Amino acid sequence: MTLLEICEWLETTALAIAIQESLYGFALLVGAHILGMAVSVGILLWMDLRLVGVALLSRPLTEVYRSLAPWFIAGFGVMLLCIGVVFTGFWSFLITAHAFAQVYRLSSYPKR
Amino acid sequence: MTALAWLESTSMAQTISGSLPLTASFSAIHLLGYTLVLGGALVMHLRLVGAMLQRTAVRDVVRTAGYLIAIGLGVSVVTGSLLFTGRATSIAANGLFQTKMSVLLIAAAWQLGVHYRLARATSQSKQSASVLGFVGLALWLGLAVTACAFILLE
Repeated sequence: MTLLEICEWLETTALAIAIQESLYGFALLVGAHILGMAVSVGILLWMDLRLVGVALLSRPLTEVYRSLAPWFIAGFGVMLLCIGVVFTGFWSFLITAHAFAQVYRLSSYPKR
Repeated sequence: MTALAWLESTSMAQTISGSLPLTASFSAIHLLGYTLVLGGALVMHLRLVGAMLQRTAVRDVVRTAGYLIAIGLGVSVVTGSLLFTGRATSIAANGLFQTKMSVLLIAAAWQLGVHYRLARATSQSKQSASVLGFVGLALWLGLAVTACAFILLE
């Protein structure tokens, strides 16, 4: 079974059909994806500012990391989960799109 | 000709609306600015609520958050205004855009008020800090939701 065939099969699952046919499902998932990204990157930025010595200097690095990590990991998880669900409905289109096609070609090398 | 129609007819507006790379670049930078704002606001208000960085002084967090929000808002307002010029008439009439702008103004005014109050305060009760934190979180997350709704449902 090729990668493209797996993607085409994924598009026939109940979840994929629900995303393709839902009026607001796509917008809600993409919205949650954007929010998850903004939360994870926005909070991770504080960690980077601490690392370069610009902010939160009064506390040790490990303490700052332990305090921020659950939040940016949760944001990253939401972002990944939502886009994974969205992609289920459009895998064969995405896999043949330019940026994804590069990964697909690499993954099928040297068969093609 | 209305002011919005005139704005749309300017060469700058037509260049932006007619160029996909320019629109995409400004949209991406707009999203980066929004990420700075949300990152700053979230950490500051979660600190006020007591959900993170409990042992860090509120004043330290508020100062850094203030810089992040100011830079993020500056970037977002400039790129957002440039994107607005291309479709000024239709965007200004959009209900979701009007809601987004109203929430943005309220959240920015709230942020300014809280910033000055906390910057001057010598002590702050845990309860009042939590209230400030929850209201701020609701406003900035409300802005994020209305912004996403405007982008995806317009």
